[in-house]
Amino acid sequence: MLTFPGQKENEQVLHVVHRHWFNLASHFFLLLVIFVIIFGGISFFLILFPEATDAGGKKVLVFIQNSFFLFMWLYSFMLWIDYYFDVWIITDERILNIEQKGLFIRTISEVHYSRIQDISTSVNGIIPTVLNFGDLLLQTASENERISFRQVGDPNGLKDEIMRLAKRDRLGL
Amino acid sequence: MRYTIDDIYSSMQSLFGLFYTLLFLCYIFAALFVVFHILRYSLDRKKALFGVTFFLSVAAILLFINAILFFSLPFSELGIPTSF
Repeated sequence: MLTFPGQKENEQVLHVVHRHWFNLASHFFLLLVIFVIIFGGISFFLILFPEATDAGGKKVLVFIQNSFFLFMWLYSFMLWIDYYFDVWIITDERILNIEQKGLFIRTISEVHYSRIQDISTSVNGIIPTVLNFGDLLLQTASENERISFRQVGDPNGLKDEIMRLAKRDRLGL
Repeated sequence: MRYTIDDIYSSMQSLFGLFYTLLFLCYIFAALFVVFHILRYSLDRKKALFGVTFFLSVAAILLFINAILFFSLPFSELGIPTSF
């Protein structure tokens, strides 16, 4: 069973929501293009023109390739951390919003169902419409406080689920 | 005091070595930050351990190969201008 720090006794985790996979894929796609261009370009060059570089030059190119690959590996995991640790945890008592902004900034906010006043969703664009992902905004009783679910899958389904939980909370079930 | 070509090559090699040491340390710190975040903030312990193992094993291999490649670079053949 999934647990999280600060979880109350008898509090049950119902859903753990991450951003839609397309959000991560779009970042990785750009990285992949750069990788193919540089890594592939160097390899292609070495294969097509073996006489253009001497043994020393080839070693330098291979070193550059490896350094780039190492950098890509580290950067990929940093992208993964930024994606995976942005999470919304929906329990039977509240909703937690954990945002990882880069490596050194992490914000956690929560809202209890009794404080939710308004929920709205938006799905904008061709790809979000086809893949069914978008934003969900929770407006709370506090004037400035709101929780945003950014680029999540099936925002309308999520909205219905949150409204169901809010109704259940109001009825004291 | 006159410097020979060997002195210049030796100095350049030391400089490259210093830059590479700094770069290597940056790689190590970045890897440690990634490991820290995965272990500290993951909700699922098993997935966190799998992720860290996967990340570290590939990173260690790449770092090892990178170091070997660097120390096999022929600095003396890379060319230093003999006249300015």
